[in-house]
Amino acid sequence: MYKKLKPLINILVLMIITVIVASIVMTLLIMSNNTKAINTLQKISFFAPMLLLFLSVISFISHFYFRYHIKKDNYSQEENSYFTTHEQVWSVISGYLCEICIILNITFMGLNYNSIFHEIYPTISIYNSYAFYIIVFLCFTIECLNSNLQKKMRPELNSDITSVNYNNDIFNKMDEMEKKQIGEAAYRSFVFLTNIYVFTILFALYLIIVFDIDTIIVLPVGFLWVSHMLTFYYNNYKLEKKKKHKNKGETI
Amino acid sequence: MPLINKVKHYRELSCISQSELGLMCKTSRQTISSIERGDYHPSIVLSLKIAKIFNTSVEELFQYEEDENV
Repeated sequence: MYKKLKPLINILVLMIITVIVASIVMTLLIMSNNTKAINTLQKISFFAPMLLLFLSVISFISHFYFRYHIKKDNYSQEENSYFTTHEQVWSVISGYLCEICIILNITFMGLNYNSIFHEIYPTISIYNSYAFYIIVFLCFTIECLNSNLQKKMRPELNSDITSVNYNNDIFNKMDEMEKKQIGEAAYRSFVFLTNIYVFTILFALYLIIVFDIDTIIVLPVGFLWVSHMLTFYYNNYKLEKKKKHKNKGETI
Repeated sequence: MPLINKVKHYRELSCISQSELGLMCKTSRQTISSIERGDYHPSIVLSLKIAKIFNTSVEELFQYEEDENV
C-alpha cells in the first residue's frame, strides 16, 4: 500500500515544503521592504569573511594535528590505526571545509563588491579584503598539504596538484571500488543538482518579479543547467563509444 | 547478504595484512577492507587476482547463498 502511495506522498511532501519556504519568504518580504532585505544580506556578508577566516584557520590547524598523529603512528594504514579511524573526519575538516570556505569566500567577495570598491564602509572593507587573501592563501596551502599527505599515504594516486587534469588523473589511478563509489556519488549529485536548478531558476524569476532585479540573473542559472546536462550526456556518449571500441578490439 | 566470502579467513591464514594484500592485487586497503566486510562485491578480475594470490578458486573464496525470502 505504502509503495503504491509513495510517489503521491513524495509530491505532497514537496508541495508542503514549497508552501512553507514560500510563506517564510513572503513573510520576510512583508516585514521588511526590498532595500532592507538587501541591506541585511550585505551586512551578513560583511562579517562572513571573518567567520570563514576562523573556519579556514581551524581547517589549517586540524591538518597539522592529523598529520602529527599519523606520523606518530608511523603512517600506518592497518585496521584500527589512527589514519583508518580518522580518515573520514580528516577529509571533512581539512578537505571539504577548506573547499566550502574558498567557494563562500568568493561568493561573499561578490556580495561585498560594491562596498569594497566604492568604499561605503572603508574600515570593514579593508579587513574583508585582507581576510579574502588570507583565506585564499590558507585554503590553497591546505589543498597542497593534503595532496602531499595523500602522496605519502597512497603513492599510487600520485598526481600533480597544479595540473589542469589533476582530478581526472586521480580518478584514473583509483581502483574499481573507489571509481564505483565516486560514480554513484556523482550520479546522485547530478540528480540532486538537476532539482536544485529547477528551484534556483524559479527563485530567480521570483526575485525578478518581487525585487525588480535585472533579468540577466536567469542567464547564468540557465547556462549552468544546460552545460550540466550537456556535460553529463557528452561523457555518457564518450564512455559508450569507448566501450564499443574496446569490444571491437577484443573481437579482432 | 547472499554473497559470503572467505577473504579474511584466507588472508589471516596467509599472515598478510590488508595493505599487503592490496599491494599484491594492485588495489587499495580500503577496497580489501570493504570486500572482507561484505560491503563491496569485487569484479571478476579482482576476484580472480585474489584467488590466485591465495592459490584457491573464486568459488571457494566467494559463495552465493540463495535468499530463502526471495
